[in-house]
Amino acid sequence: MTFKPSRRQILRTMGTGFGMAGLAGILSASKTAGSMTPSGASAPMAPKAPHFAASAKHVIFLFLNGGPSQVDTFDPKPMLQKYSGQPIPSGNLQSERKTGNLLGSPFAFRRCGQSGIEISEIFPKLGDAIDDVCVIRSMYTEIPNHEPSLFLMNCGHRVPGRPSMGSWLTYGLGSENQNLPGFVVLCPGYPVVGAQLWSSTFLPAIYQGTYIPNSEKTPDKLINYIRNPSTPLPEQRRALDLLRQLNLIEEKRTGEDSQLESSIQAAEIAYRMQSEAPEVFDIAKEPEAIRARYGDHDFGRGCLMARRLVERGVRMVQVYYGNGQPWDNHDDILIHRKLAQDADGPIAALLADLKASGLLKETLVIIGGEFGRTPVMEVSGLVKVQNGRDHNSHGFSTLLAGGGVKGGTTYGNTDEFGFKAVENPVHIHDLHATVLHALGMDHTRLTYRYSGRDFRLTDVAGNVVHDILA
Amino acid sequence: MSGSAAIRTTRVKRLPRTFWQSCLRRNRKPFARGKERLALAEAIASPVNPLTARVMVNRVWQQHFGYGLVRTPSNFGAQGDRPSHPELLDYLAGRFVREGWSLKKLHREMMLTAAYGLSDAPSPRNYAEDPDNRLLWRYNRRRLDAESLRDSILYVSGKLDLQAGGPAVRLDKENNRRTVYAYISRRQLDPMLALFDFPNPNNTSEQRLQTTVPLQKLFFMNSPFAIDQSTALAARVAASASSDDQRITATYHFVLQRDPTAEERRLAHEFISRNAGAWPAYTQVLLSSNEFTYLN
Repeated sequence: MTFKPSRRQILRTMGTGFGMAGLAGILSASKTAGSMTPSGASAPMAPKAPHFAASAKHVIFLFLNGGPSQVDTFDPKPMLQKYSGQPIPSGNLQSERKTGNLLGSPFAFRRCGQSGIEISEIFPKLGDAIDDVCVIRSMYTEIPNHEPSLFLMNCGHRVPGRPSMGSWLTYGLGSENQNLPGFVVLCPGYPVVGAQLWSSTFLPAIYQGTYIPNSEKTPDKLINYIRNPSTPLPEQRRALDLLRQLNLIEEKRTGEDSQLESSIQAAEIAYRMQSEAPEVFDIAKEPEAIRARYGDHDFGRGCLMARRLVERGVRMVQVYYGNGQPWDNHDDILIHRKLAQDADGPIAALLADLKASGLLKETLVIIGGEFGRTPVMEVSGLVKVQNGRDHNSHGFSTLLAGGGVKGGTTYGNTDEFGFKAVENPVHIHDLHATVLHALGMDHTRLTYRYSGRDFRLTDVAGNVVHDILA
Repeated sequence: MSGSAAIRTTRVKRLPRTFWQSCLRRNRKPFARGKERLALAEAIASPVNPLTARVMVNRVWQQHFGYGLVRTPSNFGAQGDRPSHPELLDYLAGRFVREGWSLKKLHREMMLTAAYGLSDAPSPRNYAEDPDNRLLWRYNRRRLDAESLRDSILYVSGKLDLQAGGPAVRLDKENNRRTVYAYISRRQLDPMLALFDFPNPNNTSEQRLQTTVPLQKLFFMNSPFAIDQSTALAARVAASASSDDQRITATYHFVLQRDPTAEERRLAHEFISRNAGAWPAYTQVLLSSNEFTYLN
């Protein structure tokens, strides 16, 4: 039977007035991902059933922004070492700036875990956890520039204007904790491009990422207006009770209205958030030994907050490694060692904690940046030291763990020097399709009508990489 | 497009550039070579092209009534919504063109209608027949948009700076000017504007969204702006009358332009009597109330 909600119900359901009316498909919507039904009336973040059985319920995206070099981290290339200093026989591929001869990695690789996957020495703890990780070595993107690649990786399109992955996920699935935002973004400062990377653009505004500057250490500074500077909670409760009574009187006078009803509920949630949100962001509550494993730096604290948020049912948390683009080592690839030092411990600690609590089974952890780096040295004249690598859109590595992903495996390969994905190449659209699939959604069915057509996270492309899913 | 059909070149007759047949059935002539852009603009704004006037009229209507006669303001095509009152839409569009595309006259015409003067009073019988209110049996209740909300709070607190014109100013603590003069950063939208559904300045926006989310309530409960304006309103109320009873009446007059009911008055007394510093908390509640924050 086709359920036919009234237009008013549809609009109310989204709590957004009417940005979406006129959808051709909406009148036959069912209570599944991305649909708008009265079940979600006044609670657009209420959990919704996926299209099919999901292997993951949450996503944590650890974004190593700036473009980590695959040949120095997760993609060992003996030929690169052997021919270091010589020209690449097949010629250099297009990158952003001028590049020269092959540059061998200064870091040694070692076989890790039962699976024996080779990981760079700069990620020793992540190496020990590799049996829970799938290393995709054949990622590729479209343009060797940060902005378009950041947009593509986060929003599925090279230019601004499309909703971010977290917005699509919360639009599709809602969230499991109504006292916290469903999509949280942690970054000390801002990555390049900034807030557009977690914007909901044409999706209803409630699905935008809630940005928390995790360089701040106290919950009050982390969330806007989370605490009242002067009024204690019992007094605020009394004020809220009065507000509720006045609102109910008004509703009696003007007639029942789900919009007014949701406004009353939102105030109650806000009140509860004041208790729950400061607690979840207060990582000082974690035992000293736990905090030490994550490290007392931005990324470590971000990973710990991500764990605490997912434990409380938040759908997606994205943790940016740092302000700007720290992994953009044009000059000196040795800086990667220092960057990895702050990434290695927290990533391993997060995976271990999620595994110990059983949450890793239902949490898909994505680790990577917007593109890779060239196996050849940058010689652009813009660099002070000639020991670094340029942007590389042709090939790079992304790591997936948990959430139904086959751990201790690798997928795809770059060429013998690590420049270009040649075996089982995985486009960003394919990655997005795979992430949505793990969360139980068909990427071709999670659509939103805007400006006269149905939009998807994967636009008109994307193939699910079934081989990496258990 | 990589399909072979797109690559294969078959000899087709080159058609002269002209305007859509669906918009311009009569007097449809090819655009003059070298003047296509001008011709296109003229065709769009032509009095014999009904679409432009219909779209414009519908947009103005949606501003006044909450929803357009066509509820897909950017899509009047086959996939879009059918107009609820096609004759009315065409009447207004025709009149709009005849009146020299005067928006002022259009606004006046709409705002003088009986439909615009309706209250949002409920009617179970009408609701049963037309829950969407497509036939305009009552006013559509709407949350105030970000600008109206900020301006209204400042107006009620007595702090609104009505100075007109000048360069845009950031919405900081000292800025009490109308929100229309707010500095809009495309990179980092002001958090209050963003919270209350100000459109993304990088996208086109056919209509404002109206979300109702908890973070908005945190703003009413805890933001320095809400607290400052509640305090200012409490001071304004205190200066206007001396007894609690008169002050409660004054608060309702300032915020809601009506007298409180006996029940509302009783609740107010009960709340205020609990402690001496309750007035700013009380005015803050009224500024957060649905009656104030929704247009009805």
